[in-house]
Amino acid sequence: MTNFSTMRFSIFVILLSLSLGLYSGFANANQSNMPFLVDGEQHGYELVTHRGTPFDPSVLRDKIVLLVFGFTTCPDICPTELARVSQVLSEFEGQAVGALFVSLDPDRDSVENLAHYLPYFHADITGLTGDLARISELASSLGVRFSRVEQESGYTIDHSTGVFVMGGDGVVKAIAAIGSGVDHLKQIVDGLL
Amino acid sequence: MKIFHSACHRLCHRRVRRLLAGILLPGWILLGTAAVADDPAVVGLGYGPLGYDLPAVGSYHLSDLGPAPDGQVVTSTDETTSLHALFDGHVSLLSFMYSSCIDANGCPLSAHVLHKIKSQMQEDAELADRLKLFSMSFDPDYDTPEKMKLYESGYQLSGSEGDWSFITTRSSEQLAPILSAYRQDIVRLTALTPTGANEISHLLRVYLVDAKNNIRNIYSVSFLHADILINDVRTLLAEQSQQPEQPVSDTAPDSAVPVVTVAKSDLSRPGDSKSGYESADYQTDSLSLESRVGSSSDLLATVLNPPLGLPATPIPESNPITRASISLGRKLFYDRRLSINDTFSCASCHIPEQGFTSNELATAVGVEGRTVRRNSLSIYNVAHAPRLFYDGREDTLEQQVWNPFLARNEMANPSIGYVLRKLRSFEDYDGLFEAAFNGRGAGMETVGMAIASYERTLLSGNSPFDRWFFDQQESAISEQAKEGFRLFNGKAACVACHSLGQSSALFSDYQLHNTGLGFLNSFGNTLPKQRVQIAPGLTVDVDSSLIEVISEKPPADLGLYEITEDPADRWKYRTPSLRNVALTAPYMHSGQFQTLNEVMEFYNAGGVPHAELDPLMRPLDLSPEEIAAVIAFLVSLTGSNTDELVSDAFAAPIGDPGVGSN
Repeated sequence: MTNFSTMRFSIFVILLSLSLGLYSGFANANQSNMPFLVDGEQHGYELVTHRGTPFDPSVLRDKIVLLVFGFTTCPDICPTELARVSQVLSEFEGQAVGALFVSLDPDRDSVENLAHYLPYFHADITGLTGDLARISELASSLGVRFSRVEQESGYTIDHSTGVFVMGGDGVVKAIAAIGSGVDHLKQIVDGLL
Repeated sequence: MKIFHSACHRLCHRRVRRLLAGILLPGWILLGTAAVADDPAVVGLGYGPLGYDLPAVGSYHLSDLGPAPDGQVVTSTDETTSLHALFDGHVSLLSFMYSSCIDANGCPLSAHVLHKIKSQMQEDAELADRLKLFSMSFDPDYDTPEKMKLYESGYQLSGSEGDWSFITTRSSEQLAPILSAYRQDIVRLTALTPTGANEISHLLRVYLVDAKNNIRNIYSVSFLHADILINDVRTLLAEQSQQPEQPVSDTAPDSAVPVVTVAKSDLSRPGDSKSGYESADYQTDSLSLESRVGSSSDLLATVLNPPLGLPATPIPESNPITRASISLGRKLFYDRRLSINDTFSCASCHIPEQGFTSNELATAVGVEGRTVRRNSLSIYNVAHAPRLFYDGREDTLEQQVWNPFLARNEMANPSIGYVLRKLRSFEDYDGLFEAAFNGRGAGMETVGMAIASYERTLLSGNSPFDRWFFDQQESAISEQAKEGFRLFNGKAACVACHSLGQSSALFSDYQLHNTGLGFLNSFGNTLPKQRVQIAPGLTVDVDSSLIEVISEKPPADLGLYEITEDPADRWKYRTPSLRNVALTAPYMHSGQFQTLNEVMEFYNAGGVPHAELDPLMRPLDLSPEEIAAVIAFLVSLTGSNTDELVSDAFAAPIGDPGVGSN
């Protein structure tokens, strides 16, 4: 793979131009599918991390960020996706890769609950919770759908799946579909680094 | 999502999702979700290793299932184009999906399988050049070109070789004709809450399209595995490279509908033949027992040198076949003492002179007239069946034989020990097990091994078809039968399940499929009156309610579902081989068709439409002449040695009660 770095560079250029193109297209439509977490108007989202601190998106600058939506009492999809993310974080230990878990169930997912839950997966996953309206805003900007489904005892949340992969500029570059496994996600991160 | 009926929507949803965690991350221990560990739900084949060998690339033919419909779509770069323009003379795999689908055996399964194929494309230049992958959304409101681009980019980063395009449409209106052309019925589940997650009920289907835009295979969840898809793709690519000349009929079939008659020898017929019983001039046509005597054959020789048209006989390493084990197995097979009341042997349902099945009963009957749910399967060529029973629940003959021994409505032995104690008490078995199995006596294993050895010798081939197809004897079958074989591979598409190879043919894929017949029998198959024949040529129409009063209630039969408990597996039954099919009436798992003509009419109508119907089933539009031709071909599949095997069976002892007992 002698052309690897050249290839990687061209992918980077393609993606960069692509994402900028998409971003401007969306900005015009005033309905961003591409959250600009680090800069611009949309930073912050007034969310709080599982460490109890206000979320500062700028710490993600220049990092590849794996973004997962879910809730801590989720029996299946969320732990699966978090485990996939954890394996990727371990694989790229020491490199500029981070991960965010955004709770879709802030009523139950308190800071304490998130702090108890996330370290089971990986110490470097940052959990976010907060006001439901702010979370909905972030979710819908990414086309993530979720709904509360009442059950005999309590309720659960149905939600869209997949790991959103953001580049160092805070723009989503790819979605790793559920089903396509850990390798797929590793390959995406490798391609973006 | 959902491959299930709405009634179980929520329940199945949870169950399958939970399952997903287990599949995608083997070894991962789920925190506080103990329910996962013991959940037996079934996962798509595509997640694991295939578990069986596929036929060699190019050794089989994928029938043409009709043109792949075209339609206007939008690419991830927001360009409007058509499906055919995208296919662009490539072999294509087209999958339907929507991005928020979470059913483990739905969209994620197709993503998993297509990703595996995309990975293969990184290493295989031919696949990368000549195959294209497409995932098309049926949720245009949410799956915008921008969103599709994000998926596409992900897979592009996963490896730059090969095309995997994510396509969508501008609107539901633009999408509808494409879905209906591909017969993808979707149901949008109403949002349960104001912010409702928008779930879509659909059947997972992936379409294989050839370079000429014809559909060549349709994969449902049971067949969606990267190895199968790649094998089929390579077979299509090989076919394109060779450009084989299509066999063309030089003589048109006769305009009059030819009548197909089935000639049977005197041996291969019921001892008390009822053929013609429906007409008033029926004459009793029984063969006396004295005239039904036979002589033994060298069965081992058949196993070692199988008849023309059969592959090498698979013999498990754990059960080498010997003359001693065959002879012992043959004795056990015909021994009626091995039942609760000394009346019933294996051959009571697998009757040698009736095609090793039972020509006179739709569904089998066990000891004391006890009803069995399904038709007896013929055991001709059973050595080649990788799964046994109509529901495929057993995988070796050695294990299979114990099922009828112990079934309460078959041989009804109360226990394994009961059978073994009986065998040990029979003097005529003294030393036979020990001689056949290196000193091992009668035991659960050795009984299975002996009977399996005998059953493996029931090989039948060298049929007229075999002599024409594998030995190029042009006059071995009629022009009508040759035309029937062309239809079998083409318009009638029988070969899609009744598959054959280049040097041998079993006429079965040994997979389980849903033709709709089981569905029909489960729902609304009761006619107000039923015709009952009470004497030759004399029938009366009896009110069904009167019959129901005195009949045993027909038992429910859900096919493979009973084994997997997966609702998607309801009414799936194993494809039977077609060898000797003219000898093995009645047909189907229910035995409800008495003639091949009825079977052909059923398939010609496209089976019984319902949600789980196998995607390969569709109306065939065959004319009566074409049906007759296919039947002429089917009749040409009768092997040359059936009389020899029947004669050998007649020479076997049948275990007279009281004889040989200590």
